[in-house]
Amino acid sequence: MKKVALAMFAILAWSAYSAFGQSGVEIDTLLGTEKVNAALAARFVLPAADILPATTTPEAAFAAAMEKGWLPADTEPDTPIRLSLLSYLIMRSFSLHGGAMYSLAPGPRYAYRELLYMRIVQGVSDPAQTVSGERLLRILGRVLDLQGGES
Amino acid sequence: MMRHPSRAVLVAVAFFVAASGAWALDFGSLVGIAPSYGDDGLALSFSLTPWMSASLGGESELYLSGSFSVDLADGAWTFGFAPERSELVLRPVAGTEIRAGRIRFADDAGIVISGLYDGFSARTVFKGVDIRLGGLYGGLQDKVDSKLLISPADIADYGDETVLFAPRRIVMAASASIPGTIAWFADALAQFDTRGSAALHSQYLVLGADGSLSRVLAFNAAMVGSVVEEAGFDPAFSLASEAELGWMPEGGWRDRAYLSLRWATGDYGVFNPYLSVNAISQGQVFTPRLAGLFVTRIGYTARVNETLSADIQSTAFVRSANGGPADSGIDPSSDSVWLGAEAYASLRWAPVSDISMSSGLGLFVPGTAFLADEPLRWLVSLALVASL
Repeated sequence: MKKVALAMFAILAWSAYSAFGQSGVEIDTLLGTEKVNAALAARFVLPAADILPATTTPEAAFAAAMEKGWLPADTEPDTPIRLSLLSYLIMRSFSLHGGAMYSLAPGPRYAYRELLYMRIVQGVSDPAQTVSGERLLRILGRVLDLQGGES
Repeated sequence: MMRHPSRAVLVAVAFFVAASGAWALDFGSLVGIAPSYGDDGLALSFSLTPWMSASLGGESELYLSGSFSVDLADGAWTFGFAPERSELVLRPVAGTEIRAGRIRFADDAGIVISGLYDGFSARTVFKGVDIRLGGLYGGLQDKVDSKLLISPADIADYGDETVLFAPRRIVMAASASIPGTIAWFADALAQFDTRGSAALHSQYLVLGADGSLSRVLAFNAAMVGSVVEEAGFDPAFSLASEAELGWMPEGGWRDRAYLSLRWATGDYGVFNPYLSVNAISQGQVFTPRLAGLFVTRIGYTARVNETLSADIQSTAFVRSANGGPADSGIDPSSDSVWLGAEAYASLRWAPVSDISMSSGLGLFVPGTAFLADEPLRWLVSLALVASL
Protein backbone atom coordinates (compact mmCIF):
# COMPACT_ATOMS: atom_id res chain seq x y z
CA MET A 1 0.00 0.00 0.00
CA LYS A 2 2.84 2.38 0.92
CA LYS A 3 4.61 1.57 -2.35
CA VAL A 4 1.47 2.40 -4.30
CA ALA A 5 1.08 5.68 -2.42
CA LEU A 6 4.73 6.58 -3.08
CA ALA A 7 4.35 5.76 -6.76
CA MET A 8 1.18 7.88 -6.95
CA PHE A 9 2.99 10.70 -5.25
CA ALA A 10 5.90 10.50 -7.67
CA ILE A 11 3.53 10.49 -10.66
CA LEU A 12 1.67 13.46 -9.21
CA ALA A 13 4.89 15.42 -8.72
CA TRP A 14 6.12 14.55 -12.20
CA SER A 15 2.76 15.51 -13.73
CA ALA A 16 2.82 18.82 -11.90
CA TYR A 17 6.35 19.50 -13.05
CA SER A 18 5.54 18.82 -16.68
CA ALA A 19 2.12 20.52 -16.65
CA PHE A 20 2.99 23.71 -14.88
CA GLY A 21 6.61 24.06 -15.86
CA GLN A 22 7.76 24.81 -12.33
CA SER A 23 11.05 23.59 -10.98
CA GLY A 24 11.28 20.36 -9.03
CA VAL A 25 12.34 22.27 -5.94
CA GLU A 26 9.24 24.45 -6.11
CA ILE A 27 7.00 21.43 -6.56
CA ASP A 28 8.68 19.72 -3.62
CA THR A 29 8.14 22.81 -1.52
CA LEU A 30 4.50 23.00 -2.56
CA LEU A 31 3.88 19.33 -1.83
CA GLY A 32 5.33 19.86 1.63
CA THR A 33 3.10 22.86 2.32
CA GLU A 34 0.24 22.14 4.69
CA LYS A 35 -1.53 25.48 4.18
CA VAL A 36 -0.91 27.18 0.86
CA ASN A 37 -0.94 30.96 1.16
CA ALA A 38 -2.53 33.36 -1.28
CA ALA A 39 0.73 34.29 -3.00
CA LEU A 40 1.80 30.68 -3.55
CA ALA A 41 -1.68 29.77 -4.81
CA ALA A 42 -1.57 32.64 -7.31
CA ARG A 43 1.94 31.60 -8.32
CA PHE A 44 0.66 28.18 -9.41
CA VAL A 45 -2.83 29.05 -10.67
CA LEU A 46 -2.04 31.98 -12.94
CA PRO A 47 0.79 30.27 -14.86
CA ALA A 48 -1.35 27.12 -15.17
CA ALA A 49 -3.98 29.31 -16.83
CA ASP A 50 -1.33 30.79 -19.14
CA ILE A 51 -1.85 34.25 -17.67
CA LEU A 52 1.72 34.54 -16.38
CA PRO A 53 4.90 32.77 -17.42
CA ALA A 54 5.91 29.64 -15.54
CA THR A 55 8.93 31.47 -14.16
CA THR A 56 6.87 34.09 -12.31
CA THR A 57 7.36 34.67 -8.60
CA PRO A 58 4.71 34.36 -5.87
CA GLU A 59 4.92 38.10 -5.27
CA ALA A 60 4.36 38.96 -8.94
CA ALA A 61 1.51 36.45 -9.28
CA PHE A 62 -0.16 37.75 -6.12
CA ALA A 63 0.14 41.34 -7.37
CA ALA A 64 -1.39 40.34 -10.72
CA ALA A 65 -4.32 38.55 -9.03
CA MET A 66 -4.93 41.55 -6.77
CA GLU A 67 -4.77 43.94 -9.70
CA LYS A 68 -7.37 41.95 -11.59
CA GLY A 69 -9.64 41.86 -8.53
CA TRP A 70 -9.54 38.06 -8.29
CA LEU A 71 -8.57 38.22 -4.63
CA PRO A 72 -10.28 40.47 -2.06
CA ALA A 73 -8.58 43.81 -1.41
CA ASP A 74 -7.74 42.91 2.19
CA THR A 75 -5.94 39.68 1.28
CA GLU A 76 -2.39 39.42 2.57
CA PRO A 77 0.11 37.41 0.49
CA ASP A 78 0.95 35.12 3.40
CA THR A 79 -2.66 34.49 4.45
CA PRO A 80 -3.58 30.79 4.08
CA ILE A 81 -5.98 30.66 1.15
CA ARG A 82 -9.46 29.24 1.75
CA LEU A 83 -11.00 26.71 -0.60
CA SER A 84 -13.74 29.16 -1.64
CA LEU A 85 -11.21 31.87 -2.48
CA LEU A 86 -9.02 29.42 -4.37
CA SER A 87 -12.14 28.35 -6.28
CA TYR A 88 -12.86 31.94 -7.28
CA LEU A 89 -9.25 32.50 -8.33
CA ILE A 90 -9.45 29.38 -10.51
CA MET A 91 -12.85 30.29 -11.99
CA ARG A 92 -11.60 33.73 -12.98
CA SER A 93 -8.13 32.66 -14.12
CA PHE A 94 -9.42 29.88 -16.35
CA SER A 95 -12.51 31.88 -17.43
CA LEU A 96 -14.79 29.03 -16.36
CA HIS A 97 -18.52 29.56 -16.80
CA GLY A 98 -20.68 29.20 -13.73
CA GLY A 99 -24.33 28.59 -13.06
CA ALA A 100 -27.16 31.07 -12.66
CA MET A 101 -26.22 32.10 -9.13
CA TYR A 102 -22.55 32.53 -10.03
CA SER A 103 -23.58 34.70 -12.98
CA LEU A 104 -25.81 36.81 -10.73
CA ALA A 105 -23.41 37.05 -7.82
CA PRO A 106 -19.90 36.03 -8.89
CA GLY A 107 -17.77 35.42 -5.85
CA PRO A 108 -16.04 32.76 -3.75
CA ARG A 109 -19.32 31.23 -2.44
CA TYR A 110 -20.72 30.21 -5.80
CA ALA A 111 -17.29 29.61 -7.34
CA TYR A 112 -16.76 26.91 -4.70
CA ARG A 113 -20.16 25.38 -5.54
CA GLU A 114 -19.24 25.33 -9.24
CA LEU A 115 -15.99 23.49 -8.64
CA LEU A 116 -17.86 20.98 -6.46
CA TYR A 117 -20.42 20.46 -9.24
CA MET A 118 -17.67 19.99 -11.80
CA ARG A 119 -16.00 17.52 -9.42
CA ILE A 120 -12.86 19.61 -9.51
CA VAL A 121 -13.08 19.87 -5.71
CA GLN A 122 -13.48 16.34 -4.34
CA GLY A 123 -13.59 14.68 -0.96
CA VAL A 124 -14.78 16.15 2.31
CA SER A 125 -14.69 19.91 1.99
CA ASP A 126 -16.15 23.19 3.07
CA PRO A 127 -15.59 26.69 1.74
CA ALA A 128 -13.47 27.81 4.69
CA GLN A 129 -11.02 24.91 4.56
CA THR A 130 -7.38 25.73 4.03
CA VAL A 131 -5.68 23.97 1.14
CA SER A 132 -2.58 21.82 1.22
CA GLY A 133 -0.06 21.92 -1.60
CA GLU A 134 -0.95 18.39 -2.64
CA ARG A 135 -4.65 19.28 -2.82
CA LEU A 136 -3.88 22.40 -4.86
CA LEU A 137 -1.99 20.29 -7.39
CA ARG A 138 -4.82 17.77 -7.59
CA ILE A 139 -7.36 20.54 -8.11
CA LEU A 140 -5.26 22.20 -10.81
CA GLY A 141 -4.76 18.82 -12.46
CA ARG A 142 -8.52 18.31 -12.71
CA VAL A 143 -9.01 21.82 -14.12
CA LEU A 144 -6.40 21.15 -16.79
CA ASP A 145 -7.99 17.76 -17.53
CA LEU A 146 -11.35 19.45 -17.94
CA GLN A 147 -9.92 22.10 -20.21
CA GLY A 148 -8.17 19.44 -22.24
CA GLY A 149 -11.44 17.56 -22.58
CA GLU A 150 -13.29 20.65 -23.73
CA SER A 151 -10.72 21.84 -26.23
CA MET B 1 -40.57 15.27 17.36
CA MET B 2 -43.81 16.97 16.46
CA ARG B 3 -45.08 16.30 19.99
CA HIS B 4 -42.24 18.46 21.37
CA PRO B 5 -41.76 21.14 18.72
CA SER B 6 -40.02 23.62 21.04
CA ARG B 7 -37.51 21.00 22.16
CA ALA B 8 -36.88 19.93 18.57
CA VAL B 9 -36.29 23.53 17.50
CA LEU B 10 -33.93 24.13 20.44
CA VAL B 11 -31.94 21.01 19.62
CA ALA B 12 -31.76 22.01 15.95
CA VAL B 13 -30.65 25.56 16.82
CA ALA B 14 -28.06 24.29 19.30
CA PHE B 15 -26.77 21.86 16.70
CA PHE B 16 -26.59 24.60 14.08
CA VAL B 17 -24.86 27.08 16.40
CA ALA B 18 -22.37 24.45 17.54
CA ALA B 19 -21.65 23.49 13.98
CA SER B 20 -21.29 27.07 12.76
CA GLY B 21 -19.14 28.08 15.71
CA ALA B 22 -16.81 25.14 15.85
CA TRP B 23 -16.42 24.39 12.17
CA ALA B 24 -16.76 26.11 8.89
CA LEU B 25 -19.90 25.29 7.03
CA ASP B 26 -21.68 25.71 3.76
CA PHE B 27 -25.39 26.24 3.47
CA GLY B 28 -27.99 26.82 0.82
CA SER B 29 -31.47 25.93 -0.25
CA LEU B 30 -33.26 24.09 -3.01
CA VAL B 31 -36.43 25.64 -4.36
CA GLY B 32 -38.73 23.41 -6.34
CA ILE B 33 -42.03 23.51 -8.14
CA ALA B 34 -43.57 20.35 -9.53
CA PRO B 35 -46.95 20.39 -11.25
CA SER B 36 -48.44 17.20 -12.61
CA TYR B 37 -51.68 16.35 -14.33
CA GLY B 38 -53.21 12.95 -14.64
CA ASP B 39 -56.48 11.10 -14.48
CA ASP B 40 -56.67 12.13 -10.78
CA GLY B 41 -56.61 15.80 -11.82
CA LEU B 42 -54.07 18.51 -11.15
CA ALA B 43 -51.43 18.13 -8.47
CA LEU B 44 -48.98 20.84 -7.54
CA SER B 45 -46.09 20.89 -5.13
CA PHE B 46 -43.94 23.80 -3.98
CA SER B 47 -40.96 23.02 -1.81
CA LEU B 48 -38.17 24.84 -0.04
CA THR B 49 -35.38 22.63 1.23
CA PRO B 50 -32.72 24.43 3.27
CA TRP B 51 -29.52 22.48 3.89
CA MET B 52 -26.31 22.84 5.80
CA SER B 53 -23.05 21.01 5.34
CA ALA B 54 -19.96 21.17 7.54
CA SER B 55 -16.69 19.32 7.59
CA LEU B 56 -15.78 18.36 11.15
CA GLY B 57 -12.12 17.88 10.53
CA GLY B 58 -10.44 14.86 9.03
CA GLU B 59 -12.83 12.87 6.90
CA SER B 60 -15.94 13.53 8.98
CA GLU B 61 -18.86 15.70 7.98
CA LEU B 62 -22.30 16.81 9.03
CA TYR B 63 -25.24 17.38 6.68
CA LEU B 64 -28.64 18.66 7.75
CA SER B 65 -31.66 19.34 5.56
CA GLY B 66 -35.40 19.66 5.86
CA SER B 67 -38.22 20.42 3.49
CA PHE B 68 -41.07 22.89 3.78
CA SER B 69 -43.77 22.00 1.29
CA VAL B 70 -47.11 23.25 0.06
CA ASP B 71 -49.03 20.64 -1.93
CA LEU B 72 -52.23 20.56 -3.89
CA ALA B 73 -53.79 17.15 -4.44
CA ASP B 74 -57.40 16.05 -4.89
CA GLY B 75 -58.45 19.71 -4.75
CA ALA B 76 -57.06 20.25 -1.24
CA TRP B 77 -53.99 22.20 -0.13
CA THR B 78 -51.70 20.79 2.55
CA PHE B 79 -48.66 22.28 4.25
CA GLY B 80 -45.86 20.50 5.95
CA PHE B 81 -42.29 20.30 7.14
CA ALA B 82 -40.26 17.13 7.22
CA PRO B 83 -36.61 16.54 8.03
CA GLU B 84 -34.87 15.22 4.96
CA ARG B 85 -31.45 13.58 4.81
CA SER B 86 -29.67 14.73 7.95
CA GLU B 87 -26.63 12.75 8.92
CA LEU B 88 -23.34 12.72 10.72
CA VAL B 89 -20.76 10.90 8.63
CA LEU B 90 -17.66 9.60 10.38
CA ARG B 91 -14.73 7.97 8.64
CA PRO B 92 -12.43 6.95 11.49
CA VAL B 93 -10.09 4.94 9.27
CA ALA B 94 -9.77 4.46 5.51
CA GLY B 95 -12.47 2.13 4.20
CA THR B 96 -14.73 2.52 7.24
CA GLU B 97 -17.75 4.80 7.26
CA ILE B 98 -20.43 5.34 9.89
CA ARG B 99 -23.59 7.29 9.13
CA ALA B 100 -26.07 8.30 11.81
CA GLY B 101 -29.22 10.37 11.60
CA ARG B 102 -31.90 10.36 8.93
CA ILE B 103 -30.14 8.32 6.29
CA ARG B 104 -30.92 6.79 2.94
CA PHE B 105 -30.91 3.02 3.15
CA ALA B 106 -31.61 0.28 0.66
CA ASP B 107 -30.81 -3.40 0.40
CA ASP B 108 -28.43 -4.47 -2.35
CA ALA B 109 -31.26 -5.77 -4.54
CA GLY B 110 -33.50 -2.73 -4.02
CA ILE B 111 -36.66 -4.77 -3.51
CA VAL B 112 -36.79 -5.16 0.29
CA ILE B 113 -36.28 -1.70 1.71
CA SER B 114 -35.55 1.64 0.10
CA GLY B 115 -35.91 5.13 1.51
CA LEU B 116 -35.10 7.49 4.34
CA TYR B 117 -34.92 5.97 7.83
CA ASP B 118 -33.72 7.16 11.22
CA GLY B 119 -30.81 5.23 12.61
CA PHE B 120 -27.31 4.32 11.62
CA SER B 121 -25.35 2.34 9.10
CA ALA B 122 -21.73 1.28 9.35
CA ARG B 123 -19.60 -0.01 6.53
CA THR B 124 -16.12 -1.44 6.59
CA VAL B 125 -13.90 -3.76 4.62
CA PHE B 126 -12.66 -6.88 6.41
CA LYS B 127 -10.32 -9.26 4.59
CA GLY B 128 -11.57 -8.08 1.22
CA VAL B 129 -15.24 -8.40 2.12
CA ASP B 130 -17.36 -5.27 2.23
CA ILE B 131 -19.47 -5.52 5.38
CA ARG B 132 -22.41 -3.29 6.23
CA LEU B 133 -24.57 -3.12 9.33
CA GLY B 134 -27.67 -1.03 9.86
CA GLY B 135 -30.12 -0.25 12.64
CA LEU B 136 -33.17 1.72 11.49
CA TYR B 137 -36.42 3.02 12.90
CA GLY B 138 -39.49 4.08 10.94
CA GLY B 139 -41.66 5.60 13.65
CA LEU B 140 -40.33 9.15 13.44
CA GLN B 141 -41.30 9.66 9.83
CA ASP B 142 -44.39 11.26 8.43
CA LYS B 143 -46.72 8.32 7.71
CA VAL B 144 -47.57 9.48 4.17
CA ASP B 145 -43.95 9.95 3.07
CA SER B 146 -42.66 6.75 4.65
CA LYS B 147 -44.78 4.26 2.62
CA LEU B 148 -44.40 1.86 5.55
CA LEU B 149 -47.55 -0.15 4.98
CA ILE B 150 -47.31 -3.83 5.75
CA SER B 151 -50.08 -4.94 8.07
CA PRO B 152 -53.82 -4.20 8.43
CA ALA B 153 -52.88 -2.17 11.54
CA ASP B 154 -50.60 0.03 9.35
CA ILE B 155 -53.45 0.61 6.91
CA ALA B 156 -55.83 1.48 9.77
CA ASP B 157 -53.28 3.97 11.18
CA TYR B 158 -52.80 5.42 7.70
CA GLY B 159 -56.48 6.27 7.54
CA ASP B 160 -56.59 7.60 11.11
CA GLU B 161 -56.11 11.38 11.05
CA THR B 162 -54.99 11.42 14.70
CA VAL B 163 -51.94 9.32 13.82
CA LEU B 164 -49.17 11.45 12.34
CA PHE B 165 -46.21 9.12 12.30
CA ALA B 166 -45.35 5.97 10.41
CA PRO B 167 -45.62 2.58 12.14
CA ARG B 168 -43.07 2.01 14.90
CA ARG B 169 -41.00 -0.59 13.11
CA ILE B 170 -37.33 -1.38 13.68
CA VAL B 171 -35.15 -2.84 10.95
CA MET B 172 -31.82 -4.53 11.63
CA ALA B 173 -29.69 -5.26 8.60
CA ALA B 174 -26.38 -6.97 7.90
CA SER B 175 -24.83 -7.46 4.50
CA ALA B 176 -21.63 -8.68 2.99
CA SER B 177 -20.37 -8.31 -0.54
CA ILE B 178 -17.30 -9.59 -2.27
CA PRO B 179 -16.10 -6.97 -4.74
CA GLY B 180 -14.87 -7.95 -8.17
CA THR B 181 -15.73 -7.79 -11.86
CA ILE B 182 -18.78 -9.66 -10.66
CA ALA B 183 -19.62 -8.72 -7.08
CA TRP B 184 -21.54 -11.24 -4.99
CA PHE B 185 -23.67 -10.03 -2.14
CA ALA B 186 -25.82 -11.36 0.68
CA ASP B 187 -28.15 -9.30 2.86
CA ALA B 188 -30.04 -10.39 5.95
CA LEU B 189 -32.77 -8.07 7.25
CA ALA B 190 -35.14 -8.40 10.17
CA GLN B 191 -38.09 -6.10 10.67
CA PHE B 192 -39.74 -5.91 14.09
CA ASP B 193 -43.09 -4.33 14.85
CA THR B 194 -42.84 -2.71 18.31
CA ARG B 195 -46.56 -2.12 18.76
CA GLY B 196 -47.27 -5.33 20.61
CA SER B 197 -50.75 -6.56 19.75
CA ALA B 198 -51.39 -7.52 16.13
CA ALA B 199 -47.67 -7.16 15.50
CA LEU B 200 -46.26 -8.26 12.16
CA HIS B 201 -42.57 -9.12 11.96
CA SER B 202 -40.69 -10.09 8.83
CA GLN B 203 -37.26 -11.42 7.89
CA TYR B 204 -35.50 -11.40 4.55
CA LEU B 205 -32.48 -13.11 3.04
CA VAL B 206 -31.15 -11.61 -0.18
CA LEU B 207 -28.58 -13.33 -2.40
CA GLY B 208 -27.36 -11.79 -5.62
CA ALA B 209 -24.62 -10.58 -7.90
CA ASP B 210 -23.89 -7.63 -10.11
CA GLY B 211 -21.10 -6.79 -12.46
CA SER B 212 -19.88 -6.56 -16.01
CA LEU B 213 -20.16 -9.31 -18.60
CA SER B 214 -18.12 -7.36 -21.12
CA ARG B 215 -17.10 -3.77 -21.81
CA VAL B 216 -20.63 -2.94 -22.92
CA LEU B 217 -22.77 -5.39 -20.98
CA ALA B 218 -23.64 -5.17 -17.28
CA PHE B 219 -26.07 -7.15 -15.21
CA ASN B 220 -27.48 -7.58 -11.76
CA ALA B 221 -29.65 -10.35 -10.36
CA ALA B 222 -30.94 -11.20 -6.93
CA MET B 223 -33.33 -13.53 -5.15
CA VAL B 224 -35.13 -12.76 -1.88
CA GLY B 225 -36.60 -15.29 0.51
CA SER B 226 -38.90 -13.88 3.17
CA VAL B 227 -40.76 -15.08 6.25
CA VAL B 228 -43.59 -13.02 7.74
CA GLU B 229 -44.76 -13.67 11.29
CA GLU B 230 -48.09 -12.13 12.16
CA ALA B 231 -49.79 -12.55 15.53
CA GLY B 232 -52.44 -15.27 15.27
CA PHE B 233 -51.20 -16.65 11.93
CA ASP B 234 -48.72 -19.28 10.85
CA PRO B 235 -45.42 -18.04 9.41
CA ALA B 236 -45.88 -17.02 5.78
CA PHE B 237 -43.17 -17.68 3.20
CA SER B 238 -42.64 -15.69 0.04
CA LEU B 239 -40.06 -15.16 -2.69
CA ALA B 240 -39.09 -12.23 -4.90
CA SER B 241 -36.43 -11.75 -7.52
CA GLU B 242 -35.05 -9.15 -9.86
CA ALA B 243 -32.70 -9.19 -12.82
CA GLU B 244 -31.50 -6.49 -15.16
CA LEU B 245 -29.29 -6.53 -18.21
CA GLY B 246 -27.83 -3.24 -19.40
CA TRP B 247 -26.10 -2.50 -22.70
CA MET B 248 -23.95 0.61 -22.98
CA PRO B 249 -22.81 1.27 -26.54
CA GLU B 250 -19.22 2.47 -26.78
CA GLY B 251 -18.46 6.12 -27.40
CA GLY B 252 -20.83 9.05 -27.18
CA TRP B 253 -22.39 10.13 -23.89
CA ARG B 254 -22.85 6.68 -22.34
CA ASP B 255 -26.33 5.79 -23.60
CA ARG B 256 -27.86 2.72 -22.00
CA ALA B 257 -30.44 0.19 -23.12
CA TYR B 258 -31.87 -2.04 -20.44
CA LEU B 259 -34.15 -4.99 -19.87
CA SER B 260 -35.34 -5.67 -16.36
CA LEU B 261 -37.51 -8.36 -14.82
CA ARG B 262 -39.09 -8.38 -11.38
CA TRP B 263 -41.18 -11.11 -9.91
CA ALA B 264 -42.72 -11.87 -6.52
CA THR B 265 -44.96 -14.63 -5.26
CA GLY B 266 -48.67 -14.26 -4.63
CA ASP B 267 -50.89 -16.88 -3.00
CA TYR B 268 -49.67 -20.14 -4.47
CA GLY B 269 -49.17 -23.39 -2.57
CA VAL B 270 -46.93 -22.79 0.41
CA PHE B 271 -46.15 -19.28 -0.78
CA ASN B 272 -47.83 -16.03 0.18
CA PRO B 273 -47.83 -12.52 -1.28
CA TYR B 274 -44.41 -10.94 -0.88
CA LEU B 275 -44.24 -8.01 1.57
CA SER B 276 -41.35 -5.58 1.26
CA VAL B 277 -40.58 -3.42 4.33
CA ASN B 278 -41.84 -0.32 2.56
CA ALA B 279 -43.86 -0.04 -0.62
CA ILE B 280 -41.58 0.19 -3.66
CA SER B 281 -43.58 1.27 -6.71
CA GLN B 282 -43.09 -0.81 -9.83
CA GLY B 283 -44.36 1.70 -12.38
CA GLN B 284 -44.68 5.41 -13.09
CA VAL B 285 -48.40 5.74 -13.90
CA PHE B 286 -49.63 2.37 -12.59
CA THR B 287 -47.77 1.94 -9.30
CA PRO B 288 -48.43 -1.50 -7.79
CA ARG B 289 -46.35 -3.06 -5.05
CA LEU B 290 -44.20 -6.04 -5.92
CA ALA B 291 -46.52 -8.77 -4.68
CA GLY B 292 -48.05 -11.48 -6.82
CA LEU B 293 -46.62 -9.63 -9.78
CA PHE B 294 -44.33 -10.14 -12.75
CA VAL B 295 -42.97 -6.92 -14.24
CA THR B 296 -41.03 -6.73 -17.50
CA ARG B 297 -39.46 -3.43 -18.48
CA ILE B 298 -37.47 -2.46 -21.53
CA GLY B 299 -36.03 0.98 -21.96
CA TYR B 300 -33.37 3.24 -23.39
CA THR B 301 -31.61 6.15 -21.73
CA ALA B 302 -29.84 8.60 -23.99
CA ARG B 303 -27.61 11.47 -23.04
CA VAL B 304 -28.23 13.85 -25.91
CA ASN B 305 -25.48 16.18 -24.74
CA GLU B 306 -23.84 17.29 -21.53
CA THR B 307 -27.01 18.99 -20.27
CA LEU B 308 -29.87 16.96 -21.72
CA SER B 309 -30.82 13.33 -21.13
CA ALA B 310 -33.89 11.35 -22.11
CA ASP B 311 -35.36 8.03 -21.12
CA ILE B 312 -38.11 6.02 -22.74
CA GLN B 313 -39.42 2.77 -21.30
CA SER B 314 -42.20 0.30 -21.71
CA THR B 315 -43.45 -1.92 -18.88
CA ALA B 316 -45.77 -4.92 -18.86
CA PHE B 317 -47.55 -6.11 -15.70
CA VAL B 318 -48.78 -9.66 -15.16
CA ARG B 319 -50.27 -10.76 -11.85
CA SER B 320 -50.43 -14.13 -10.21
CA ALA B 321 -53.79 -15.89 -10.18
CA ASN B 322 -54.18 -15.10 -6.46
CA GLY B 323 -52.62 -12.52 -4.18
CA GLY B 324 -51.79 -9.96 -6.84
CA PRO B 325 -51.73 -6.21 -6.32
CA ALA B 326 -54.84 -4.37 -5.13
CA ASP B 327 -56.35 -1.60 -7.24
CA SER B 328 -59.79 -0.02 -7.28
CA GLY B 329 -60.07 -0.58 -11.04
CA ILE B 330 -59.40 -4.35 -10.99
CA ASP B 331 -62.43 -6.52 -11.73
CA PRO B 332 -62.91 -8.77 -8.66
CA SER B 333 -64.64 -11.39 -10.81
CA SER B 334 -61.88 -11.53 -13.42
CA ASP B 335 -59.41 -14.40 -13.39
CA SER B 336 -57.24 -12.82 -16.07
CA VAL B 337 -53.59 -12.34 -15.10
CA TRP B 338 -53.00 -9.54 -17.63
CA LEU B 339 -52.87 -6.24 -15.73
CA GLY B 340 -51.79 -4.08 -18.63
CA ALA B 341 -48.86 -2.14 -20.07
CA GLU B 342 -47.36 1.25 -19.53
CA ALA B 343 -45.23 3.56 -21.68
CA TYR B 344 -43.29 6.37 -20.07
CA ALA B 345 -40.91 8.97 -21.45
CA SER B 346 -38.93 11.51 -19.48
CA LEU B 347 -36.52 14.33 -20.16
CA ARG B 348 -34.02 15.97 -17.85
CA TRP B 349 -32.34 19.22 -18.73
CA ALA B 350 -29.74 20.89 -16.52
CA PRO B 351 -28.56 23.89 -18.55
CA VAL B 352 -26.38 25.14 -15.69
CA SER B 353 -25.12 23.68 -12.45
CA ASP B 354 -27.86 25.12 -10.22
CA ILE B 355 -31.01 24.79 -12.33
CA SER B 356 -32.57 21.59 -13.54
CA MET B 357 -35.85 20.76 -15.21
CA SER B 358 -37.43 17.41 -15.73
CA SER B 359 -40.63 16.31 -17.35
CA GLY B 360 -42.42 13.05 -17.82
CA LEU B 361 -45.24 11.73 -19.94
CA GLY B 362 -46.82 8.37 -19.27
CA LEU B 363 -49.76 6.24 -20.37
CA PHE B 364 -51.08 3.04 -18.78
CA VAL B 365 -53.38 0.80 -20.79
CA PRO B 366 -55.36 -1.44 -18.41
CA GLY B 367 -55.44 -5.12 -19.29
CA THR B 368 -58.19 -7.70 -19.15
CA ALA B 369 -57.89 -8.02 -15.34
CA PHE B 370 -59.43 -4.55 -15.03
CA LEU B 371 -63.10 -3.63 -15.27
CA ALA B 372 -64.26 -3.34 -18.87
CA ASP B 373 -64.95 0.39 -18.57
CA GLU B 374 -61.68 1.21 -16.84
CA PRO B 375 -60.27 4.24 -18.69
CA LEU B 376 -56.70 4.77 -19.80
CA ARG B 377 -54.53 6.24 -17.07
CA TRP B 378 -52.05 8.95 -17.89
CA LEU B 379 -49.69 11.38 -16.27
CA VAL B 380 -47.91 14.55 -17.38
CA SER B 381 -45.40 15.97 -14.95
CA LEU B 382 -42.91 18.79 -14.80
CA ALA B 383 -40.39 19.69 -12.11
CA LEU B 384 -38.15 22.70 -11.82
CA VAL B 385 -35.46 22.84 -9.15
CA ALA B 386 -33.14 25.76 -8.46
CA SER B 387 -30.25 25.66 -6.02
CA LEU B 388 -29.64 28.92 -4.16
